[in-house]
Amino acid sequence: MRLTASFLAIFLLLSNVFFGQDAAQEDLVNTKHQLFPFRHVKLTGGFLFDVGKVVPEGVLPLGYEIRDDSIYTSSYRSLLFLLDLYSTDARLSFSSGAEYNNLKMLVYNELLADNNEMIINHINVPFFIKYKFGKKFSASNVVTFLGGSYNFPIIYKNNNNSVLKSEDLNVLQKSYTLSAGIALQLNLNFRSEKEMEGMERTVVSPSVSRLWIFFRMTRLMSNVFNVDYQQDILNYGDNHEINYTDMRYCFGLGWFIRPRRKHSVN
Amino acid sequence: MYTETAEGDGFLTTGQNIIDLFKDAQVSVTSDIPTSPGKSLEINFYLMGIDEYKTRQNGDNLFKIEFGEDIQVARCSVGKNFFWGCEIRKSIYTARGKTNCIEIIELEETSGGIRIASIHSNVLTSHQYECENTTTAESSLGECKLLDLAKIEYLENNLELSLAHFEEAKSCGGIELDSFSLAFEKVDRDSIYLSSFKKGNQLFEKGKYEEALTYFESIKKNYREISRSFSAELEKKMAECQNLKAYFYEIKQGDFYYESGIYDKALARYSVALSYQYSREIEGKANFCERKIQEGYRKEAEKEIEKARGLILRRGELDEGFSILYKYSHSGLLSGKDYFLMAQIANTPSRRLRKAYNISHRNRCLLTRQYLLKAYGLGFRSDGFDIFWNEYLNEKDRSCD
Repeated sequence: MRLTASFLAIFLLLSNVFFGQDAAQEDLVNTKHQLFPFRHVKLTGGFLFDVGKVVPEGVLPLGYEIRDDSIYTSSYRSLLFLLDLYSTDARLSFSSGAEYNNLKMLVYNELLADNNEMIINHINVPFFIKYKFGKKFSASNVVTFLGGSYNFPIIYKNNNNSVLKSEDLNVLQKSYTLSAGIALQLNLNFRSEKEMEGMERTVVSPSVSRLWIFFRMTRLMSNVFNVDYQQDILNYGDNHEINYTDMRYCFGLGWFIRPRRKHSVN
Repeated sequence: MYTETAEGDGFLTTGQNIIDLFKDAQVSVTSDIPTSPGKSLEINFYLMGIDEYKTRQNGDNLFKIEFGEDIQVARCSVGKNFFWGCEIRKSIYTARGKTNCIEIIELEETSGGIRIASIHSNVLTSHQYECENTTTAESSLGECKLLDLAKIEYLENNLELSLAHFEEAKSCGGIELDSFSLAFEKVDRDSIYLSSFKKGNQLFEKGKYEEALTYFESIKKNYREISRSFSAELEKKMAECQNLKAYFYEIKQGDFYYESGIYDKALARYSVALSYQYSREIEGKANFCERKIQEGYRKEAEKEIEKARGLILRRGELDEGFSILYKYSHSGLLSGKDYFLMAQIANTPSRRLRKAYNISHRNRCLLTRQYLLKAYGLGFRSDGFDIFWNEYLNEKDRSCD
C-alpha cells in the first residue's frame, strides 16, 4: 500500500515536470511506426531500479516455511544497467545488460525454533523485447516488455538463529527467470539555456531522455539452491527436499540516457 | 567572379549559364552524389537550392557561394565509361573559412529537359576519373581537344558534326597533322554542309530545335564558301529555330507554374511565349491566369497551405497534407515550418507517397535533407527541429553520404 502510494506520488510529480516540456512535440509529425526498421537505430544506456514483494513457491522440507507476516517479510530489490537498441520509428526494441539483485528471506521452522535469515544476491544477464504503444513523438508511451535472465549467484549468507552459519556460494546454483512488465515511458526534453550579455536567451542542444515508471513480474523458474550440496543447507531436512522458486512483483523507475549532441546544420 | 543572388528558373539551353540549371525548379538529382569523406559541405549547397543563401554577422550561418566564370565542357572517363559534363569552379565561404572545389556536373538530356545526372566533387583523384576539357565557355584560346571529338563523331558516322568539330579544332590552333586530319582535309565539304542542313531541317520538323541549331550553327561557323542564297536560307532557318525553341521553352516553364498553381509566374511565361507566336490555347491559359490573379489566388493558396498544416498536425492526414505542400513548394508561399513538416513526412513516406513522388531510398534522404536545409535557411528554429536533426536522424541521414 505504502509502496503504491509512493509510486503514484512520484508519477504525479513527474507528470508536472514533463508536461511543461511538451513544446518540442508541437511541430514533430507522428509518421507511421514500423515493427523494427533498421533506420535510425540507436543504442542507449539505461539504469533501472525496482523493489517489490516476493511470493515464494516451490517446496521446502516438512515444517519449514518462508516467513511473511508483520514481523518479517521477504524483500527483493534490483538494479539493472541495460543497453537498449531502439529506433524512434520502431515498435519493437531490445535490451540487454546486467542486473544486480538482492533477495532477503527468512526460512524458519517454528516447531524446531530453527530460523535461517538468508541473503541471496545474484548478477543476472537479462534480455528483453519491448513493444511500444503510442505515437512516435508523443510525450509519453506505454511499453510492455517480456524477457528473461540467466542468473549467477554472487553472495550467500545464512544467519541461523542470529549466528552466521554459512557463506558458501556452492549452496546456490545458476538459475533463470522470466519477466514481464509494463511501463509508462515519459519522453523528456531537457534544455540547457544559455544567457549571454546583450543577446537573447538561446536554447542549446535539447536532449531527449526516456524515463520509465514500471511494474515488473519476475518468476524464478528454477531452484536457486544446489540440492547436491555436500552439507545440510537447513539443519533439519534433506537438501533434495528443497526446491525454492518464487514470483516477484516489483515497482521501479528507470532512465534511459542519451548523451547530448549537437550537429551543425549544413 | 560572380555571385549568385537572384532567384531564377529555367532549363539549360545552349549559351545559357549553366548555373541557371541549379535554380531550375524541375532539376532533380537522379543518382548518387559521391563525396569524399568530410567534404560533404560542397555537395550540400546544390541540395539547398542555390537561389537562396543567407549571410549573417555572427558567423554561425554565414555561407556564400561564388562560381568561377570559366565553365568548361569536359569529357571524363572512368574505366571504360565516359560522360560529358561541365567543369565548374566554386568557392564556398562559411564561418570556418573558404573552401575551393572543382566539380564535374554530369548532364543528361531527357524528354523533359536537361537534368543533372550526378555531381562529382573533389573526388576526381580518389575515384580515378580522368577529365579532359574540350572547350571553354569564353573564347579564350588554349589547349584544344576538339580533334578528339571530331574523331569520335567520325567513327560514329556523324560526318557533319565531325567536320564541325574538326573546323573548330583548326580554329583553336595547334592541331596535329595526323593521318586522320590529313584525310579529313580532303573530304567534300560542300556535300557535308548540305547534308548538315538537311539533317538540321529533319530535326526541325521533328521539333528538336536544339539539335537542329547545332547543325545550323556548325554550318554558319565553318562553311567559308557558303553562297549568299544558302546563307540567307540558313539565317532564316536559324531564326525560326531559335524562336520556336524559345517559344516552347517559355510554354514549358509556364505549364510547370500553371500546374503548380503559381499563376503570376505562369502568366509571365505565357506572355513571353505569346510574343514569339500566337496560340489560342496559350492565350486561354494566360487569361485563366489573369483571372486567378484578380480573384486573389494567392489568398486561396495560403488557405490551402493552412489547411495542409492542419491536416498534418491535427488530423494526421499526412499524404494529403504533403501533396498540398508539395504543390506549392516552388511558389515562395511556404514557411520554414512547412518545409520542416515536409521533411519529416518525406523521411518516412507512405507507400502511396513513395510511388507518387518517387521517394526511393536515395531520394528520400536527399529530399529530407533538402527540405530541412530549406527550412533552416528560411530561419525556422524550434526544439522539434533540433530534436529531429540532432537526435532522430543519424549521421548518414544528415549528410546522405
